[in-house]
Amino acid sequence: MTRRLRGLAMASVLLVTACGSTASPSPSGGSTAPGDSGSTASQPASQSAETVTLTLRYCWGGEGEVKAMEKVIQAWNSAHPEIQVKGISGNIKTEEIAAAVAGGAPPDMVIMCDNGAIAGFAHDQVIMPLDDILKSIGADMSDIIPASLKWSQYQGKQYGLPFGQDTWGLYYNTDMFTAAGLDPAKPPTTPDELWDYAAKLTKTNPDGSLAVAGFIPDDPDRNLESTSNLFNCQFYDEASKKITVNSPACVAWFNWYKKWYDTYNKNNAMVNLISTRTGGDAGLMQTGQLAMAIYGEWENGAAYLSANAPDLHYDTAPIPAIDPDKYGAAFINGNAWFIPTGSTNPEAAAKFGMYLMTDEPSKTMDIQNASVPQLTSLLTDPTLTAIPHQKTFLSLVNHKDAWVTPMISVYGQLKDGLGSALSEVTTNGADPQAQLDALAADLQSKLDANGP
Amino acid sequence: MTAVSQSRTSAGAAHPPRPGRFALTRGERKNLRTGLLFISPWLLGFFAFNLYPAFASLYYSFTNFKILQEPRWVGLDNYTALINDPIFWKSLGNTLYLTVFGVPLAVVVALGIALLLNRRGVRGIGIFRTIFYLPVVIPGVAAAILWIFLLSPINGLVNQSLHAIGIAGPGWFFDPAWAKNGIILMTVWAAGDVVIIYLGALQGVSRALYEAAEVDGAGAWVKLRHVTVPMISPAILFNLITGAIAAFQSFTQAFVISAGVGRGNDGSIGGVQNSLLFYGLNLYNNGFRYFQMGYASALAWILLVLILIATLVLLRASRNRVYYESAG
Amino acid sequence: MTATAAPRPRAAWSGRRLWMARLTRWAPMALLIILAVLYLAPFIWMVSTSLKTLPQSLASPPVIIPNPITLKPFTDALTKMNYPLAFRNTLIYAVPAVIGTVASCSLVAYGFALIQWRGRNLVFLVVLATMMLPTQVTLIPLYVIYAKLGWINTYLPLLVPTFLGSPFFIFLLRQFFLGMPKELIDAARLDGASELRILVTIVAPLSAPALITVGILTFIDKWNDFYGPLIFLQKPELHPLSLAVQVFQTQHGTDWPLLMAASVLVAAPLVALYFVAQRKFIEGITLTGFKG
Repeated sequence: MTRRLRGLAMASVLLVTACGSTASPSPSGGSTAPGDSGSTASQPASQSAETVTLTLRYCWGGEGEVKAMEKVIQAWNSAHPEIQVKGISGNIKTEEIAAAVAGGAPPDMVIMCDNGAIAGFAHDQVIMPLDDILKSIGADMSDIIPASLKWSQYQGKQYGLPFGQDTWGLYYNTDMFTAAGLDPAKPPTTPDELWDYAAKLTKTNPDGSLAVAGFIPDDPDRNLESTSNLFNCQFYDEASKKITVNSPACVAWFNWYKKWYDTYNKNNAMVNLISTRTGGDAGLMQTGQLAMAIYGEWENGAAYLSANAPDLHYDTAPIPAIDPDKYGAAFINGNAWFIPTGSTNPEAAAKFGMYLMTDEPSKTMDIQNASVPQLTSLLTDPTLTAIPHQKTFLSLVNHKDAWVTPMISVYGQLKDGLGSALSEVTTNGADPQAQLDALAADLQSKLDANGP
Repeated sequence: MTAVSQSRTSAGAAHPPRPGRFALTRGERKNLRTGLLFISPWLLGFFAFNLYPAFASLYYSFTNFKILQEPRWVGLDNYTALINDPIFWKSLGNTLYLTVFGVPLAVVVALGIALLLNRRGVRGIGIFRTIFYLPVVIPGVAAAILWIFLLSPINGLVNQSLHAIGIAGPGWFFDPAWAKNGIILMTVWAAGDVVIIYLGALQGVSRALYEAAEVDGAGAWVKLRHVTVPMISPAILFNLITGAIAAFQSFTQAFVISAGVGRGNDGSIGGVQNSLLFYGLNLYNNGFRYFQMGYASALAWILLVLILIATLVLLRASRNRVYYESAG
Repeated sequence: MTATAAPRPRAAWSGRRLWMARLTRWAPMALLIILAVLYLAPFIWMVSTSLKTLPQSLASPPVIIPNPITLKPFTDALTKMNYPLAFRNTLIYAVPAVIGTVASCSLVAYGFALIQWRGRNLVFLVVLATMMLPTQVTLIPLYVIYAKLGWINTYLPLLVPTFLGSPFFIFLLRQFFLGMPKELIDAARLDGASELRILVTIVAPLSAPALITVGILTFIDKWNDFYGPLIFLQKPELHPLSLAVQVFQTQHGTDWPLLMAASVLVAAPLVALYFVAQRKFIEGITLTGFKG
């Protein structure tokens, strides 16, 4: 009996192996593994005679986005037979990259739609500093907007390069402006004006609920970084390496949010209105329930506002600023390409990366996504300025006071911490100063322990 | 009922006097060999794919782990940091709420549904069985999105229905006091797999037992309490334990919902005033958004210990309440 | 229980009895219908959204019955998500997983439930414990193992573990096997039957409902698995349906009608399969020989 059982166990093990290999359509699947050579950073240029195949993992998954990106890749492949790029589309989770790098089989190059992970990746050495590689291939970066370079840097080194940027502005319903006796050609430029305009645009139902909100400061929450510097609130001081979220300017900024909630959220009126949002970010404006809002430039793209709400008439402007000097500046972040540690051919990847930094590929993706180019020369490109309302955003990123994400290792905690602190202030009556003091202390201790 | 007084030892392993404390009789040795042989697939998988990752994560929990560098030993630092972290306690509280209120509710409601569906010869019962199974086949992300719409405080179907009968519905995911109840509702709704397990278990309950009870004049309730529930108690215990494990680790629903209701457009998760920040979400945040894998590993091992304790408590509490025919 | 037969005034007794009889006949059905409506609501919403135009799907307050009804989301979804290839990939994943899980878990569960050996309860607790460690912290070490084996971009990381026993289903089958009639097994042992023979000829047929349960749940689980293929299958041509649905999510938004239509298309085969299987599953299994 025992012998027969042992035979069975063996058979079941064999079955495992047999089944495994037949079920796999491509047994040689691990082709992206570096395996053959340990050389990563110092790939000799003499190998360029052979064909190099690069896998490029990119974050776009939508049909139009994938088509545009594949078009970019095709154009490169047909012009460069020696470096063939193979694109893999779809939303990227950070753990996917982290695991692949740890396993020694990362994609050769990655385009990520969120620069929030760059500092963390760089801190953990998941991605490579690019300065030496870029220098060795003679990359020309003079056309890249200076502020755009900043949001892909960590500790003074370039860890990626921007490929299409996002920035935020004021969207307003022009029909509502006219109906309220406001001039659609004169959007508010200071927080005080914004407050007055909102009062005129707000419509209340007989039961006290909001029919139309003039403005909601945190719908959507992405706004958090998009307004901070307009109140002169800086999250981090590079020189002293200090977290400064509890500075008087930041407290004033939080009090600004509080003022809106104290005035308009009686009986939860504003939260209830937010809860009816059906679409994406701009849901409330699409359904005519919000007159003014802060949204990203992509809402002007073919897939967003105009598709979701064909009858909406709106215009765009810079976000109001306390300091007239800062009016016209905006927060920038965006998509970036970088090279994971363990990439089979960083130099070839960087060459393709620099191709993305030229007019044609950048324009292709910027038109598809209605994103803002990272190249100075494209800011005045007629095909991009021709996208309705996009002109506002093209000028915002080149402003001298344009600001970016603090590139520090505790950026994730900073963003989440600000979000929950604000949530406590607006909906739970917490004191801004106390919340921000606690957050600053917590972040500072983590930063000191973890390194910048 | 049936004879519960089964022998505790298996066939072939009678009770010869034992030579020593650790020595095994021939029969015991043979049983050990056979038993290990039968579980060998699991043993193989355990040694190949579970053991190293488990110990690696245990080791990471005592280090400052960066993905490509030699982990730096920090002793108990991660554990002390965790105990002093208000987010840890908040997420633990949220998770315990979900486990304590959600799991028993789902287990009971699913049992009720399974009993209703188990009746034979009722016209159209197949359609009903399929309806209650639908929630299981809808991908988790789509289901979570649907519930955001359904539980929308003003426009949602649930509150509109409540409004129609004169009840002012709560703010659900927009109200920190109600957000977790929304998740519980979803859990109960999605308990179709629990229903399927009960249906499987109910097939094993012999008709003869019910007939014998009916001869004794038992009504529906008595049959339920004294026949059905004891006979399927192993399945109930299973659903409680695996339900608790799932609740302790719950992630996807809260992840999608907190991203969908506002906070989280930029990737941050946790809901209004962190009311949906469950243990699994905090763990994910630390592991893959804050790049604190050492700390996340410490969180994971604390979680393992908590679930293990909960499981042992459930197993012990059930010892005299769960009926195994073969009396293992 | 015989105490209920106490004498009572005859008229009242029969009146109450009639009422009770009606209640016991109709109450379960009524309850079933109410619950069914609640359970169906999200699904109706899903189907309704999948028949709307994009602006209509975003209307506030939302409409339940689409006007006009459009089938475009379905035709678009079918062409855009490369359904045939993704469907094939899903089957390549789900079918072997069902075979592997049912086979390996019955063996292991038998070893834990019906063979007495020293330390089995302790080992079983280890089986349970493997379910308790969150996958987030084991992902990276596990990936390293699979990468060293050269299994990345193959189905091996997803399939091989299913042949090595899933703790959830080992636990489930153990619970069922513990309910097997002991006399029958003991009698077979006395007749000299091997343990494997007992599993195949006695325990498996008697626990057919449990084995089918394991099969159904595994199939659904693998059908809808998003995370495993996302992490381990980097090649688009290997992607199953669960990943193919991604094409309806753009960087900043989602086309709800398309996504819901795609979700209906992904779920439909599972629903049809279950509708057919449930009859066999619940009513077709004869339990002859299962003594009480």
